[in-house]
Amino acid sequence: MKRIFSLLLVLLCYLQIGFAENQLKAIYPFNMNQKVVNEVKGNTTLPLYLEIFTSDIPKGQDVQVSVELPKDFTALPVHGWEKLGSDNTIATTWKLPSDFGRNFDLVYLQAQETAVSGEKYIKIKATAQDWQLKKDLKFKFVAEQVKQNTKKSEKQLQSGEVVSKKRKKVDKSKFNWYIQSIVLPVDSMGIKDDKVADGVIYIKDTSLESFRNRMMGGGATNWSAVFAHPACHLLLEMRNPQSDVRVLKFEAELIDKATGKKVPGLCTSGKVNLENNEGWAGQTGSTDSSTALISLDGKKAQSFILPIYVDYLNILEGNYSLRVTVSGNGQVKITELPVNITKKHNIGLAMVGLAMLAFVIVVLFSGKIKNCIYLVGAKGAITIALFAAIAFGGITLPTTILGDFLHVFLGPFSGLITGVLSGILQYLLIVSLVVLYRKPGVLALMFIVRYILSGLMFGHFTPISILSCCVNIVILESLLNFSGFYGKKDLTTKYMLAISVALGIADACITFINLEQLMFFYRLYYADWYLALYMIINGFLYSSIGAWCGFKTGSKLRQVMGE
Amino acid sequence: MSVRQLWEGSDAASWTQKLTGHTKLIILFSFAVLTITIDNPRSLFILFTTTLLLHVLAKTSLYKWRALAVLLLLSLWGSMFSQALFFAQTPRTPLFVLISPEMQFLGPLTGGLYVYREGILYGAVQGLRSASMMSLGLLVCWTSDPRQLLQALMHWNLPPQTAFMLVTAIRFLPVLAAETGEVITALQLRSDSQNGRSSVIRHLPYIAKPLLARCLRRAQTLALSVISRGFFSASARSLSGKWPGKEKLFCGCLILLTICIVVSKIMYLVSEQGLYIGALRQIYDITKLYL
Repeated sequence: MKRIFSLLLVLLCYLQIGFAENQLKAIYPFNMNQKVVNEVKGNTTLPLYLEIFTSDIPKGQDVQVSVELPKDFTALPVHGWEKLGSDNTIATTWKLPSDFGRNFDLVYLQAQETAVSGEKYIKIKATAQDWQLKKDLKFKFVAEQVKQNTKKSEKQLQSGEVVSKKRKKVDKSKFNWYIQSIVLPVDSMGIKDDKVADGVIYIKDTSLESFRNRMMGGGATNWSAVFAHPACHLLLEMRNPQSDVRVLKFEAELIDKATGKKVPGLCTSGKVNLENNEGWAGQTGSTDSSTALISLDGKKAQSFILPIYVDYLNILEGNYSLRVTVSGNGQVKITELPVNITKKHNIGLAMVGLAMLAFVIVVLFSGKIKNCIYLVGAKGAITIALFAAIAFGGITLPTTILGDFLHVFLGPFSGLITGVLSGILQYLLIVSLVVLYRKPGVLALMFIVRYILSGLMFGHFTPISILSCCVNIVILESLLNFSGFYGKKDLTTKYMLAISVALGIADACITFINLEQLMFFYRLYYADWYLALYMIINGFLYSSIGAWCGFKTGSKLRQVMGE
Repeated sequence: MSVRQLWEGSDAASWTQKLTGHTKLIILFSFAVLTITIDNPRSLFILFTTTLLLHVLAKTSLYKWRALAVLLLLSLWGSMFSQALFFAQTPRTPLFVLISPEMQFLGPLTGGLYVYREGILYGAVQGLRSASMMSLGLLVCWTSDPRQLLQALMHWNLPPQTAFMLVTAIRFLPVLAAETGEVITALQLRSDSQNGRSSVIRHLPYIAKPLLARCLRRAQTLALSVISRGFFSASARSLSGKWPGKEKLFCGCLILLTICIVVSKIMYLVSEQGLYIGALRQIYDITKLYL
């Protein structure tokens, strides 16, 4: 039974191929709504859709397609099409692929002013080497303008006026499609939210996209999917007084306000990141602009909701002009509107959140920190105070004064020099102190005394300095606690080497959090490579060296303690 | 003018010296919160001007004005310099190229480093935040004794032991500075080269160990003296000074104003994210225009 069924199926397939033949399809007037309209009015420009469907062609071949237009009808210039002789015929040559293929094109036709109402015919002929296809289209033409003019002429005749034989020319600029207005941003339904400011595009922060994906079990980030999600929508209001039916190209691009030049920032949904290949389809669409095809369907007014895609990796926040270009069949309409690109700084916000959490933790553990004073006793407390005084005099004081002077010559890179103090000397003091007094809270006390000292001497009582101090305390205390530093009997060289590296990594994290906080609270900008440079040199390198020196110094100082 | 003179508050107007540490710290902290909340350049400038006006009212001496001017200019310059390089907004006009994107290694790494004209202006505006804080911080320092501020902190439950540690640190700062000098002199004298006798930078890496060893010995001596007098465990509540009612009222108003500004700013930012409350429209308008 199965065999019979399979045989029948194969037979059916062969029959399908056997009966398949080349087809010529033509629709006039064509519209993308697939509505059948057989009437053409006035000077409307309407497209003629042509399609040749071929099957079972052994090899590729050329076919000449000719379209004989009705009298007083003209075709708008289209690439590849040309007028044949004096006849009202246009023609082109299509290359048909072997086996199966589908070739199609749109030709825009417009009635001339002299065209009269009535039934019209378009004759289409496709001629190949060994076959020919023909198709005749019939439609009704209503010459509205002519009618009006004729009525007017009759009236003028009745009133005895002399009628000029030459008809009044239609002002084409008044009878074309144009951009009425642009509303941005709107939602995917085209509804404007009054709560959202005009012309503001909020861009999501994609810096944590990979991290978020991995945390949520999504694996590596699919950047194509990220790019394919529009940042906002735009409502394009078009006016079409002549009721044209057209397929137009929409293009939105960002323009630098100062130079007037196109800048990167927008993209198409087919955008991929540079790390990935473009896929078998290659790079699709144009770069640095969002594009779309829109279809005028013959209505006098028409709205389009168009997605705007943003290149998250290249866009900069700020003020731009959004240039919207709508073009088609040799006509181009351009309009510009001011836009403001605003990025959501998720990392900055997250780091401030972390710092606030650190503050809460310090407040919650303040009792334990206070108890640490009793644990280390008066001698320990005084040692901590003196170490904090050295930290203030040797780190805070020079970095505040010397740092500002170095800033004049080295700018933001002065931190790499002052980092010798804030990195090496700070960790030397910290580690030597905790080697001497291996109690949880010693490090916290030193930071608190140093912070208040800095506040009392320089007036540095700012929210950022409090948060920064708390971040230092929480991260470093946690690291020493979890690494078993406080419980270890002997501090071996190998163990302390590992601790030094761990402290370096921890300080790199602290540097990152503090810089992000600085950027968030002071609205400053720092390049990613600068943050990385600071984290590696100031954070990791200097701190690890300082921690190692601290261990050596601390070990020597223990001898002094024992005196 | 010595550094010590610069940090003394004896020449300040009497009203600033009469103000309690509580009031000064609250003004300082409120200003710090306001400067990081406000975005409007005009309002930031008004805040900055206010701090300078307070210096005028406090009769800050000429040499302190000079020091303040130098520090403020350096701070503003730093902000302008960094933002000129890293400004990441449009429009931005590169004035000159420091690292070309085509330069080997550094070019692809940095994506090019330019000095942007708009970044200089942006840095100047944003630098007003740190400048305001620095100006007010110095005013508080120049018009107050650290003990006055410490009293205020103790009034707000700073443990007396911590206060003792702070006092110790402050008291021993000049001593530590003198000891550092002594250590450097000793290192210079021990140096076997002619060059080493005058160089300070060369000896800096070797200062830490002798200095910290001295600290430990001093801590031992001090601890004995402190314990023997029973000072370390004593309650220091009596040290906390009085806070006049008028100042309390002023501080209350200032805190309330700061909270209102911060809340309105947060509400405005939240409204931008979609949580818009129609009844707060006027607050949104004020925030947008002035904050």
